[in-house]
Amino acid sequence: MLVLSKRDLDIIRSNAERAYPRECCGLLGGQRETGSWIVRRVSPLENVASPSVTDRYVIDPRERHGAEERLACDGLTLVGFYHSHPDHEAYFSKTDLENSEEFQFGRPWLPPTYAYLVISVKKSVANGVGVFVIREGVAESIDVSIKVEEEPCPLK
Amino acid sequence: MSVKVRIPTPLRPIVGGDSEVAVEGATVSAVLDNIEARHAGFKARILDDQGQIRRFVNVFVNGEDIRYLNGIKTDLKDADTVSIVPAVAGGLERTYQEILFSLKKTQQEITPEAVKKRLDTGERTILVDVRESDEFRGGHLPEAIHIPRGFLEMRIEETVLDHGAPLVVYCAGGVRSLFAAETLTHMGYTNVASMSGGYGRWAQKGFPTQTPVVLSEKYRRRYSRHLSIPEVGEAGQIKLLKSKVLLIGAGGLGCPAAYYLAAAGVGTLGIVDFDVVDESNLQRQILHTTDRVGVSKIKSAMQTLEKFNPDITVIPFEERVTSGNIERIIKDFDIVVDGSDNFPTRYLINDACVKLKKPCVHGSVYRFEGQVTIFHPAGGGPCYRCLYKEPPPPEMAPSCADAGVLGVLPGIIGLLEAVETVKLILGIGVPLVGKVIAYDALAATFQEFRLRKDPTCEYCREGATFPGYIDYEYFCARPSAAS
Repeated sequence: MLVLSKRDLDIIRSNAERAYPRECCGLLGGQRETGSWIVRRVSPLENVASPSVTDRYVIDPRERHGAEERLACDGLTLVGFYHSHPDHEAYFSKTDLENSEEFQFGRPWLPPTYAYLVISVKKSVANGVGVFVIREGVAESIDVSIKVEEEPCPLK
Repeated sequence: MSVKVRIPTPLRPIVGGDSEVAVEGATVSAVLDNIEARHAGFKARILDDQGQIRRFVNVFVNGEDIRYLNGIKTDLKDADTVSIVPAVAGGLERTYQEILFSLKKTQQEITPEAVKKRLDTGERTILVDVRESDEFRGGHLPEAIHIPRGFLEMRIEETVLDHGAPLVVYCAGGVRSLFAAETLTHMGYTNVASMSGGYGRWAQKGFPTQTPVVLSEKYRRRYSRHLSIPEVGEAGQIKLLKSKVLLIGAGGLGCPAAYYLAAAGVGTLGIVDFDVVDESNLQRQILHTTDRVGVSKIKSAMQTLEKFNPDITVIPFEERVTSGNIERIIKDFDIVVDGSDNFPTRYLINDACVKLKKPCVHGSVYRFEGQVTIFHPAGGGPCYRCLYKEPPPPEMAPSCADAGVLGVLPGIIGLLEAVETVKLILGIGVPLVGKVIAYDALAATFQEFRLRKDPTCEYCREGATFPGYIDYEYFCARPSAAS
């Protein structure tokens, strides 16, 4: 289960809508609990894929490194990633799977580490959301719980 | 020395759950070895079979990417921080149906009926057939340019220079052409439409098609380097194979020209010569060989050329050209290549070519210098007489035998004649009509001079009636009026 505040979801939605027709991408920082990915902070990052490409995202590893360090400073950990699918459903594509960390580290399969949130944007309006984890080299959909009541978070 | 290594989250279980481990090691490589010694299976996640950092993994030392330092051999100091950061990427992949659907929305399509109407009304339309060669050979739209889709980006700009030109792209069924139209749009072509239903629907409607004459597989292999040039291609090679070129003289100029024209696949080569191979010819006349000294040049040339390219036909004329036989000799040829070495023959060839409207590719050599041009009054250029109304006096015009010639020189000039001949056959480039190229081997220069058509030329001026052949030996032997 991915736990996400409405406010953080809105950040992702507006990031996805602004990036349309390109894909947006970013990090999900928070805490891990058994079977849960609790998001406390959303960090949008620049999509450094070639500007002419609308169906790919690439995160600059240096940016990611910096963002991850900042999360660590605030006592948070990287719990996942998000990106958008312009004019497509919020599914986990083969490209998404094959570029995921757990998949690339290869066999023996590592336990599911990150939650991957995919948001569909249709005609520049954010649509559905899907969240996936990678277990045994296969994407597996997990539930999302949106907390409408914003949780007090002193770090924000 | 001890460094800190930040472990990516997925690998933390391997190192006992820690986000950071302290390890000894003087280089990145040593550090990885030391972690491996404690936590088996760690190193293989970072390095590939060749011991290189796996492509999706980035390693930073104090924030610096080790790719820009010394790779895994990067030296470490005490208290350095080594961070292992996997790359993150992804994206949607669109199915074929989705791509097609989106192309149908974004690319302009045109029906075969509308294309037919544009052709019938003479509206400017460039048809581009993007099917494979074997499909094209089965039939195509009239005047279509053939560029298989795989070569589209490479060849279209050589063929269609104007990015605003009205292009209609088609394939067999209208799908590949949509992809091709998208490519062309990306390349900056602004007026591109894909013909819906493709060639299939066009032919089904009974609209006119053309079937190209095709080369056999054997020819396709032999002339493959020509076929790859858009300006030649299959159609051009067929033109070459169907062409008939007459070489007057199998000497210094005729030998190299004939050799390369045969290589190019000029289907019929006529050769006129009545001489026999002399030992002194071998310094430049490359069709002949040492063991053929004393053999007729025609026989020697035929032997070499037929062995070199058995597909072509060599027609021998073992006779001296005269006003009595020249028309019979040249009438069936498309182009005459003048490799003669004397003025009476040059005037005779000129007069006959003017009369029968044959382009005459002309070359001449003297010691280290040579000249090439095309005399083609029917093509708007001057004739030999426009240039030299009268021959130079005999003492001013020594032959090769008297003056000598650098052996390589006729090779160069003969091959320039061959190039111009091939261009004329293919109808490409700017033919050397109305100008002469003069090559000076010692100075290593090529100079270009304009040749003007003499509006009063008795032989080639507008509306001239052919004055008849003359006594060329007498004409050239008499002292020049100018001297």
